[in-house]
Amino acid sequence: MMLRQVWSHPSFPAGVLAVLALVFALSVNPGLLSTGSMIGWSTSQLGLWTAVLGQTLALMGRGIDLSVGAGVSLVNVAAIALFEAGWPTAGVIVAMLILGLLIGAANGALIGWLRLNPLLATFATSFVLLGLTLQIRSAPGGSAPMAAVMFMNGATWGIPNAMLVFVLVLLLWGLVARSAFWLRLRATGADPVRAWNSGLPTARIKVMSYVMAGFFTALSGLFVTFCVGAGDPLFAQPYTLLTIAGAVIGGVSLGGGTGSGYGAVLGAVFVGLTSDIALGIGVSPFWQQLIVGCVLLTGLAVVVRAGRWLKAKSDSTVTRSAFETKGKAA
Amino acid sequence: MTLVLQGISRDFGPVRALDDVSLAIGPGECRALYGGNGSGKSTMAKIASGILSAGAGRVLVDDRPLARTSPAEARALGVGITFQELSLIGELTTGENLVLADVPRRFGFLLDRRGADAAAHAALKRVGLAGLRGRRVELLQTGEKYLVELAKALQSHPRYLIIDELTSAMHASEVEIFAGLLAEHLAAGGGALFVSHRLPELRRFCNTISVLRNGKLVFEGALADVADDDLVKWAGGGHRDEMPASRAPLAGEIRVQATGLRPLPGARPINLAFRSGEITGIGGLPDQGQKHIQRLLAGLQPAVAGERVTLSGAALALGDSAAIAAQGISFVSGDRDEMVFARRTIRENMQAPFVAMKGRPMPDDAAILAALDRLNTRHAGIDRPIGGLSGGNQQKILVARCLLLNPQVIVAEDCTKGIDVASRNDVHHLLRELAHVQGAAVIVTSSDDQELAGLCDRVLVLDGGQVIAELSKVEQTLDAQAIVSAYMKQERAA
Repeated sequence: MMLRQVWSHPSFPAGVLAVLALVFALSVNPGLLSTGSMIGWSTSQLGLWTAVLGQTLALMGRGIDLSVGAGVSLVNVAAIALFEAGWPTAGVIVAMLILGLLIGAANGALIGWLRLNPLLATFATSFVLLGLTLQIRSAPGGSAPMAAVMFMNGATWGIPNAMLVFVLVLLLWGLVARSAFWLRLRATGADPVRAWNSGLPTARIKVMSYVMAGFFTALSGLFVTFCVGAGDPLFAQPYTLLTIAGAVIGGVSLGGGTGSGYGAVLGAVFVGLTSDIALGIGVSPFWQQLIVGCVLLTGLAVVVRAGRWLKAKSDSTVTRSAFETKGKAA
Repeated sequence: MTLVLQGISRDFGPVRALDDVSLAIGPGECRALYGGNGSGKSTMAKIASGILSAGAGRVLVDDRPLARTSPAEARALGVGITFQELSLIGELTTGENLVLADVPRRFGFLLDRRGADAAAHAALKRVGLAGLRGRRVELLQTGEKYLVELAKALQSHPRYLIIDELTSAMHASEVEIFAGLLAEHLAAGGGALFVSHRLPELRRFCNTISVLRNGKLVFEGALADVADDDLVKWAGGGHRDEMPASRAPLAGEIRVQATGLRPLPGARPINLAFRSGEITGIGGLPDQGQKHIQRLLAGLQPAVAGERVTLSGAALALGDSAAIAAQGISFVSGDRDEMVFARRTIRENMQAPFVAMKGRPMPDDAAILAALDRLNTRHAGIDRPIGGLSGGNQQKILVARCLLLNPQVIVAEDCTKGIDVASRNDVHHLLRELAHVQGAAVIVTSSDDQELAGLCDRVLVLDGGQVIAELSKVEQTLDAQAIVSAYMKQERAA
């Protein structure tokens, strides 16, 4: 029974995939386990790992967030601008979290209350955010406070601080996943009409899911700021599609209602590793994109097919055992 | 203390679904809401529960008005509803579904798992399904889903319960559970509005009745004062659900030969044959393998090892529904969720199977209209979305589609679920014609044994995946009592 719950979990295939990718990455580049490499890897991925949780919130409510990349970039350059204006670190962090919530609230209001299509609405806001980003800073530059950047790029007892910070993010996510809201969001995403008929305020739930997604976008933007130490209007742009790919590989359904944040993170780890592997095996940069794309496609196909197969198998075990117990009872 | 619906009117496009209808339900009263398909019953139920807004009129719950179109508000005022199309979310577990609207919390925002489980356990225990609270709803059997829907409606301790066609997909034993809970609810001073097509159930559960016809209230009063014949006449049929002795079956050649069938996992394999020109019913308690047989024949379910089916001698491509449809097997289910393209037009829904069958000419509008006329289907033009019609009329369109297809075999899975007596007769006449005149082999199931006995030439009674009785109209061994005693005998022996 317990074992079935493990292998039939929607994140299981992504976990297997992430482990395989990690083993492969280590085999081509054994130095990856050194503290220095770990710091490099985790600081380059922390923003993506955090952003995928925001994407998961949007997807769970049968939405999508195409403005993740632009949102993270805006927070990044806005934070640097505030630092340059002499704001203290704590003040910047609070201001950026508020900015993230506002971005999320804007997306949420368009989708939940004005009932615009989430794909198109967030596609449009992504340009608004990108425009604002480029207004603030059109080229990479600026600098974050040295102490914070040193901390993020440091290690404690051989473990990169970026990873320790991400453990805190996962603990925060644990609260989300255990909340009453999460159950209601899953219901809304799985079947909005029936959820409404059941008495759920589906519009408000959708708005809230984007507001919370905005919070993770802001966290991601702050992490990028402190890991990279500078403002870059384009650094996080690929996050939009990388988070969607990561979440889906991690077992989150584009149709809403199924999946988990932990699975999405595993998916994002896999997505992030593919480019590291391509680098590690030393192919020409001109081939890299092609290889990364093919690995992603394979991962997606394997995960989706395997996930369906495992689910069907688990379901038939459940219904069969139900039949057998009924037979015994009669 | 009453639930009052006052002067309710409601239009859907050009169709006036309700026209100045009023009704009231007091404590301990179970009021039947009766009428034909499209008479406005479901619309009325939905307005009372805040799903739909009324064009005119108002809803008062114990003198407090239902001000917004919101199921949450209706629920807060004390109205609970069970939906004909269910309000359960398939991906969530039964327990999660039960606590959705009112999630037990810790610290205000965390889900209180233990509290939620206890609440679900208490609610499900009332319908005898407490053991299923960890199972996803999509894995439940149909009757179980309706019982869970009932438990969910009762969960908020409503003073008024609106029951829309809950029992039509339930088996007799499940109806008993419902009956007990309803009696409890009424004895505690609650009221209920009971929407159903089954006259015996109306008689059994209700004391007052409101009858709708084409959106207008045509009768209101004590149920004891009206005769069944009047009710059926009002429902739009004009004649009772008569069961004419079907003409002598053609006793045609064997059209479908199925060997090595395993209707239930682990059951011994069985062989079945279906003749052309014959309507064969598959009866028994729910989920004894009926579904597997029908879905296998329709290609909607992969074959288990050893299963083989031939159609007029040619092997069927089991598991390939498109190929099987092209070979001449049509499938009709009473579950409209999986049958209709709700947002598409009536015309497109009628044409849909032809798209899959390359080489068959598309039926033109004249043919479509002729087929619809045969079933007396009320619609405001075949250019309108099918989803705007009442459930019963949608169902009739699905059956009318078979007229155009002229299939060799029709597989009908509880295809008159939730439709009124008159429409049911229309569907029966059509199935008989397809079998007895056009020579199709018709294979039906029904949650209503009376219907099986009336419609079929032959009924196979299943139990645990085995045929335990074969009843035939020609040999005069077929009636509803015989079906029930066949499976009940088995039940007692076990």
